[in-house]
Amino acid sequence: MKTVSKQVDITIDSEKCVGCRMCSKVCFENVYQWDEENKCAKAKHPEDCSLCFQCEMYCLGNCIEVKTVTGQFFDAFYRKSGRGVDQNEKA
Amino acid sequence: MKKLEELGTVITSDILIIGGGLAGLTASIFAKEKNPELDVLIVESATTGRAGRAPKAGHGTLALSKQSVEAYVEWATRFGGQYLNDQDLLRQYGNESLQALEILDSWGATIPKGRDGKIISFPSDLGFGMTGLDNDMTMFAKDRALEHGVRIIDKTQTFDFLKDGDRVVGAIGMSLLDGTFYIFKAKAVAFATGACAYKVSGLFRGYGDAIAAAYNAGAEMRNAEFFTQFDMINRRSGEKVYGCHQLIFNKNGENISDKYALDAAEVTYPLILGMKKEIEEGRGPLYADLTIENYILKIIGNKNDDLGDGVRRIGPSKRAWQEHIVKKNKKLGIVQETKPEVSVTVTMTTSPVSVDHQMRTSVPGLWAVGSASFWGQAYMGWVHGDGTGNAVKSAMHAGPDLAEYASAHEQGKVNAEEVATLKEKLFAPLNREDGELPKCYFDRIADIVTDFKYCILKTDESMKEALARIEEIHADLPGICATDWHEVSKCREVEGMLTCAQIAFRASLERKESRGLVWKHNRVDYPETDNKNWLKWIVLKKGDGGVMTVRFDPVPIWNYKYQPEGYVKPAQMGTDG
Repeated sequence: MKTVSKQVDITIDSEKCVGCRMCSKVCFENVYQWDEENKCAKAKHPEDCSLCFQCEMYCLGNCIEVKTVTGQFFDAFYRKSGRGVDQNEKA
Repeated sequence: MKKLEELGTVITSDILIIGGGLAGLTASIFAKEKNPELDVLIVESATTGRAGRAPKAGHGTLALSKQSVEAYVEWATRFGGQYLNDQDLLRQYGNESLQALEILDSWGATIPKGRDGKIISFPSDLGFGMTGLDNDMTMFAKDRALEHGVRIIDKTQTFDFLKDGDRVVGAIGMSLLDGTFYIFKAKAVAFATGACAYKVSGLFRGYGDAIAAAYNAGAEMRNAEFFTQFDMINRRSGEKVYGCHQLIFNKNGENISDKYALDAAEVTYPLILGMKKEIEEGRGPLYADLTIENYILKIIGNKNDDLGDGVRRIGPSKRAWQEHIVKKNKKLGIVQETKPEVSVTVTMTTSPVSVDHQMRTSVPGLWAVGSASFWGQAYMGWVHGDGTGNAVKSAMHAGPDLAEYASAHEQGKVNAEEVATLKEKLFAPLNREDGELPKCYFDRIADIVTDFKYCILKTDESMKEALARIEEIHADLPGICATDWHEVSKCREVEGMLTCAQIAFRASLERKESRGLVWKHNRVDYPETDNKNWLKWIVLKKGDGGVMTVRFDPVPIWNYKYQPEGYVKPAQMGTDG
């Protein structure tokens, strides 16, 4: 089995964040924390994102974007797979 | 010495349920229905009602009609568990299949029903009944639990169990929001925290920390050697492509499903090895031809849709989620394909907590419900989509039993000195500056558990090597560090995951034969199934000095309906078994 290092980039438009904290509520991996200083949600632990995209779906300010660089699943045959990966790499 | 109250916030309840997913909620509801006077508390590390595996399901679940129960029991025994099943529990679960769905239905879950109000059961790819079940079922369970007066604390994780003598009487915990340290005291404790999935199985998470805590508290573990299952994935999107395993082709257009695993009803080991061979010998890439009319695709629906007779399998909540993901994929240039390139991914599940039919562990005062004890229950009736069934059925039995136990017992004594030691250990990573973060440890563990030679091409040598590598990581644990409360909890999850891996590999080392179908324990050095010597459950337990002990319990085949061909009852079992 080849491991695929996960790289997830989450951006939050702090101007648009309404403070509903739905991201924190729906995230079962506790990726989000509340930034008290800036009164805005913060994706403190994107390394734990499971790519369910529910934070995007439920965000009342529509200000979250989960950008996947590499998928997080494990591929039995190839070194790299998933979203945004060069598919030409040999097994 | 400090008093308990000086160490943290003490919270007392009659029943403590750790985990606010479908199993934990169902157990809480059944406990309250048995005795409404009891104070039942759920503690959840994420958000109750949105946690666990059920909110990620929604493609369908097992729905056995009365007529199909025995066929299911026979299939699950002869092929699924290959005679390691507890056939009594398996049959009980078969008989309760529709009842579990009726309970979810009564709470408000979306399940296809006919004009007569009865749940519709359709034939599945294995010939048994299945039906649709929307993925918001856990929210309805939460509503019902709250109606019953169940208390809930979210964003709080528990760690070690607390004992009074042999009995579990509570647990320590910590708020993931502000680091508040909790001491939970209860007359009966259940954990419904899922299986350990080693952070490699997509949306199915579960770190095994509660399983490890139970092991450390003295709970026995069973059937841990069955921890690997494979699924086809779309190589571009990484999403699972269910139901295509008879339709895999190589670049020459040859159907390699037929070549290696003719008519296999599930993704099985011969097909995986066949696919590997095709790629290694230059006949890749492999693709799934979803344009072919195939009975599995027809039932499962290659658009994840129809159940047949025009009834939708996917409910509105799941549908909205899928549509969002399709939109995301389009943005990334990934479109729905009819002939996607496919590869194989692994689903790891270590769920070995040994329990009886009421989900009691071997430690008094402690229950393990849902997928934490999926294999430890030994019913071994797994089919795709029945995690929800297992959650409800196991909790239906655990809930009333928890209530009876809590009604009959007083609160135990919690040792403040022990709590102080555990608290110090919990927060120690925050004081380290030069260590490695939990993420590095997770990656190291994943590299080991997903390696073919450790998870499927097992040998005596490879299992010893895997155990040594796990031990190496364990030896590095004093260097793990954390920068916030979230990472403090992750440090303990790393530790839990290591214990689960150790249990899985040790059981795999002990079972010197090959057995299983979808969840295959494959020993390259012992390729045959050995019914003469291995109709046994391997039971692991933490012994004196922390050394893992091994016991071999004979499966009471002599009491069961289905027996392997040529089975001879062991002489020492006598006439009464």
